[in-house]
Amino acid sequence: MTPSSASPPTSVEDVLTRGGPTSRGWLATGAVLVLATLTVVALGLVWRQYEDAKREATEELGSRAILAATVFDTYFAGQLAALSAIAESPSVTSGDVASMTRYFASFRPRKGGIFNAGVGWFDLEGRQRATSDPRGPTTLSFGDRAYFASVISTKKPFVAEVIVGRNSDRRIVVMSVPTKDDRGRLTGVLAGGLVLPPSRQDSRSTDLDYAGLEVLDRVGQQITRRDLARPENAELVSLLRERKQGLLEDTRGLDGSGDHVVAFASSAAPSWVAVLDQPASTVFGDARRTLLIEAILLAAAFAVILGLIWWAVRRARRDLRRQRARVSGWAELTRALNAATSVEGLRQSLATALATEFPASSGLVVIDEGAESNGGKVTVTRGSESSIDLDDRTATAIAQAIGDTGGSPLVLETHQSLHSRLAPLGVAVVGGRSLYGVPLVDQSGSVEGAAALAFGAQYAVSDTDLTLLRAHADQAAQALIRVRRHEQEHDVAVLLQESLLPDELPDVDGVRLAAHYRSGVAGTNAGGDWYDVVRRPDGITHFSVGDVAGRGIRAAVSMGQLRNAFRAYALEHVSPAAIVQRMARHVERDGMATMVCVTFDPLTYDLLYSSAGHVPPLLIDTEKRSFERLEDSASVPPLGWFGEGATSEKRASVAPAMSLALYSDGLVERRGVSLDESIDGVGAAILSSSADPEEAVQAAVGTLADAEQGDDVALLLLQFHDTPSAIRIEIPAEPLLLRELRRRVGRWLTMRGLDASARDASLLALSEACNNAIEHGYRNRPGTISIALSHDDASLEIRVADNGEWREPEPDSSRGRGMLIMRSLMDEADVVSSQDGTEVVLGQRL
Amino acid sequence: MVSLSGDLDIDSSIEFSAKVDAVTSAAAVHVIAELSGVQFIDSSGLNSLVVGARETEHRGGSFVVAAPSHYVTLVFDLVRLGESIDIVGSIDEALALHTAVNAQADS
Repeated sequence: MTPSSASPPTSVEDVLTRGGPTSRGWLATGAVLVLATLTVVALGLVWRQYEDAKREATEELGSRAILAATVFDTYFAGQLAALSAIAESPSVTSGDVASMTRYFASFRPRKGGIFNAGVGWFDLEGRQRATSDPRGPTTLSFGDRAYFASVISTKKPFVAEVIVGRNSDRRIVVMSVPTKDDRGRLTGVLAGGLVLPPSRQDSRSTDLDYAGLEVLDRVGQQITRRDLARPENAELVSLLRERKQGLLEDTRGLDGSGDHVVAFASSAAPSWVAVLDQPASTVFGDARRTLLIEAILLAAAFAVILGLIWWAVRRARRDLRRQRARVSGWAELTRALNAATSVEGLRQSLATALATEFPASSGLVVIDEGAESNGGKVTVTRGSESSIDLDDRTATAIAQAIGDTGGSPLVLETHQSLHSRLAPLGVAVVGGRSLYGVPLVDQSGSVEGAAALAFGAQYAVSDTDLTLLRAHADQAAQALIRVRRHEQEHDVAVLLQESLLPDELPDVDGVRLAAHYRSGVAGTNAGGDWYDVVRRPDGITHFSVGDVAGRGIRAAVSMGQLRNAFRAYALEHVSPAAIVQRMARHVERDGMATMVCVTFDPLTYDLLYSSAGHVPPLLIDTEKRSFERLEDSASVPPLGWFGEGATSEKRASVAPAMSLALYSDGLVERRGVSLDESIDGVGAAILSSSADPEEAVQAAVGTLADAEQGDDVALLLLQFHDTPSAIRIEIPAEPLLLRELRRRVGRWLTMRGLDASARDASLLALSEACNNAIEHGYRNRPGTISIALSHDDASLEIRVADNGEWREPEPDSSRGRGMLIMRSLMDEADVVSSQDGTEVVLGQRL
Repeated sequence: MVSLSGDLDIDSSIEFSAKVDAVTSAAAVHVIAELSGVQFIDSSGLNSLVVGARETEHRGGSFVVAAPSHYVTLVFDLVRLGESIDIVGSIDEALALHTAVNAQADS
């Protein structure tokens, strides 16, 4: 394995801080504003163009109407000129009817001839005198006809309204001129009739854009209609007559229907009005179509540009998110690696970070935990778009391949390269197309593992990707050394701690015991909790639970020292306050520990306790179904934080069917729950558990959720039961101690139910036996007196033994009296001597 | 007069003997051991009374045990202490006894 020397092409800082996404939001907003402005301007132009096109269309319509009117004028001017020429012919001016009849015969109606409806001359009375009609003049009077009347009164030519022929449905327009004699006197009226050709909208008129052409004669008849019907819209007709010529937009048409454009022009000679009446949709059709197309094009352009902006913004946002995720992923990795306390945890952290950074790929982290570990050495994460199956063997082979690169990244972009690289190692990445990996190289340069990414689809790795991968791997490699050291230390601390705790609990008179101890779970630090029980020879028992602040080996060692100190002081002192006071001497400088010491005398049921900053013991009364804390009036600050003489002790009264729980704070410290609540929870759990102390302990520990079992937990449960019927104790052979012995044994006898006289007698006999041992057995030299007490309903037995030499007492001495007293008081008082010493057996029947 | 209280046992009797010894060694004295406060007495306590009485009388003094409690009286009876030591119920009786002994000695 060679150390990594190749530096990444870009630094991870570059990757993490790439891009300045802050300005992109403004850019997008600006772009949208510009686009909106441009669109508004374009819309205005298009609208204006539309308006122009509309105006053009209407103007064109108007000019067509004028053109039509002009045509009519010209035509009628010609016709009237022809008629005037006839009127000025000699046969007419002469007034000779026969001559006129002959002349008129030449105007017989024929196709293409002028005045094809005939010509006739009327005298001043309105009688028809000459006609082109071969049937001759009618006898009808024409004096009331408009054309006659008009010409007589104005002496000017006149074009009448269109009429429908009497015998046919031909539409005829009659025009008339005055006739004069040679001297210029009015003689009559010459009238000529024209048959209008049948009206038709043929293709020619449509091509000339005369669709919708209507012609109104002087009385408002639509001469293009066969029946000469007048238009529905009389209002419009009067307006047209009044204005002569013009354009009406957005009006009703001649037929009364809405939204029409009407162009009109009057021709003076026939007093006709040419009307072009078209629906607006027809007139503006082209303009509207153009508008529509332009609007669609504009909208499409707008949409495309907006889409581009949106895409750019989205892309920018995605980049920003990605970058943020990258930064936070990086921070998270740093945090997780710092928090990792095991190689397993470190592998997980790295794998999680890779999975977050490269969600599509399958991540692969291989770190060997060393020969001693039973754990695996591979962590694999499966990518979101990956169906790659990586077993441990494959992963290990990949790690091997990465290690063989000598520190540079392993880049296998194609399936082909992947296969050719891994096949010789006897493995294949099922479902994998591309694979990239980097070794984990620690500070000393040794390759400790590998991290790799496997992609299910071919993926071209970028410099950025490789930089990130390498940076992740480097960070993990740096954390690895610390984690390994930590793991090692944790293991040692746990081992040390467990070796320092009692293997089994001693038998304690009157108390059933159960304990639980668990060092912090793997991955966290072992701490310095302890519990211990010391039964003194005199039967008094000290219980303690303590907690050394700090973690790891140092805390465990400190705990061991404190526990040894406790064992020593427990034998030396009866008072818990004295023990706690002296324990403070054994806390390291700057160190801190808490402890509680509880002292129980099975003879008297006295319970004393003293605490140094420790969580309060719980006294549980199973009969009253209640529990209370042995509170802090007997507590001083933690060990190492108080001076000489600071400790105190307090008495608690206990009785059979009570339990006392001593514990460390690991049992009651949990997230989101107050200490009080937790302590109450433990009390309730013990209360509701069965009478078996082991089960009560399990119930109490069971209040901890799995996730909270991080800290050390120590729990010692004392279950008090009936006053013991038999107790064996030892006391030093010292006169000074006998009074206390009498007090304790006296209390026991009372609790066992003896009456006062039996009790006093027994205590006196016990005293005498002890006096014997002190004075005769040991001759006032140091020694130990063993006392065995046993009591049942029928009898009491007290055995007092020493290891001294026996001498027969003189009768008139205190010893003699002692023997006398014992024998007098007790039913049985035997002295058994041997080489090993003397035993006095005192018996009393009850 | 010596007033005693508490337990007169192997521990305290040594102290009592020493005191009696100190009082009687110099001259003939008359000792009244007032025991009303004594709740417990064992053979060592009894012995210290017997020895004290013997030593006092040997030096020409007198030794009276006064006002033993009921319990202590029971123990006295048990070992028939009254046969070797004067035991009276109260201090007044002890003083009266003392006066009588003095008168007898004077006559």
